[in-house]
Amino acid sequence: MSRTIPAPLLASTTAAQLNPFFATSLDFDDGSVRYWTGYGTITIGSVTYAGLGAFSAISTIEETEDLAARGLKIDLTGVPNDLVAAALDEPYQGRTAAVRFGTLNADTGAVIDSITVFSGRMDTMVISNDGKQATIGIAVESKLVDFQRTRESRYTHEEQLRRYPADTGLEYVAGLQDKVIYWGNANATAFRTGGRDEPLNEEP
Amino acid sequence: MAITYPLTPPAAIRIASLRFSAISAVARNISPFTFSSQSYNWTGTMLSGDVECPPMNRADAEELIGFLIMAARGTFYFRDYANGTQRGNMSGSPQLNGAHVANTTTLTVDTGSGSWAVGDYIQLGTGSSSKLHKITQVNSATSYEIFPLLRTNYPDDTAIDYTDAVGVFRLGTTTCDWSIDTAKKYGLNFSIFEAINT
Repeated sequence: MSRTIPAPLLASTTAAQLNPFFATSLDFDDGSVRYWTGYGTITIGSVTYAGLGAFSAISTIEETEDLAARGLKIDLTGVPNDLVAAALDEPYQGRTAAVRFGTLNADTGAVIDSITVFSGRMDTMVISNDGKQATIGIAVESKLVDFQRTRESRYTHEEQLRRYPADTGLEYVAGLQDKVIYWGNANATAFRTGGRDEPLNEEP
Repeated sequence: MAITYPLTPPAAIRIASLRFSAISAVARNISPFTFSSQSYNWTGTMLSGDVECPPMNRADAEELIGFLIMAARGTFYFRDYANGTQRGNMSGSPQLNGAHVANTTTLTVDTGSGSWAVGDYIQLGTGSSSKLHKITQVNSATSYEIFPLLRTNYPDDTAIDYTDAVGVFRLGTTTCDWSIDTAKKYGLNFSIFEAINT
């Protein structure tokens, strides 16, 4: 699989000392919640990420040879208020989440460059508070999981109109379901046997 | 009257020994074949410490115990009580020369005269935003390297305090222990770490 890593990022990650960071973006319906593993705020591509390092952990980002959906888990300490609200009030499942990896210039604090290392959809959000520490864990599933989801579509007139409003090709499908069709007799309304128009066996 | 954080330690605080730790979030990769190494310098840097108090009489000890009990639920100002004054000869009112960006370690200073020496403490910000930094390298009379790195952006002309510079800390544990011996002398130890939440 070919991939593009910006040259400045590649150069900085191969140096003897590098200043790495992770940044996550959780895109809720009411707006995005973005954090990064540093102090203050940084801007990546006109998008601002809040600092303070609320991150506790980002699980391993896996790649496999087979076509398998690998998710990850983002743990945040302290349970930021905006995330609690999102976890309790907002429909977050299926909304996109992304993790970026980048490096900082140690002298200026500027972002050298960054790339998206994982992008998927939020699955579950677990708030944990044991009296000593409060954390919120967000399970993010790969977009490949979507392939496992059944997409229901039926060959009905309504479904066809929903997809193609001018297409009435399935208009009579429903009526055909129980339609009795007799082959060989244009006027037949009941089952007949025998020659031409003469019924051999009249039904009682 | 409600408790207002950060607390100020009681004036009667007595310290027998201070042990500071400068903690850096650094991961290292070392090749087992060549010992070639690479350092991942994450942004996390922090001062922490252990404080050992000398035997105290009840009057002094109770002041400190009351402070520690309240501090368990919030923050407090703390400093290097052994080194309230600088090693250098900075005088006047030094300020930051130009805007400074978070996550950097180089400080450029103007309006003061003289210079600090390695090991001097400086304070940026006031109140609950007070940050305690230590000079780790003198580049010139107007340029210094500091630890920990800047935690926030600072505008030009931000004032720098260098006498009895303080930072905001938390207790290392939320349990306050003290002992009283037969001579009614109190024994107290506690640990601290920087409060990094602003």
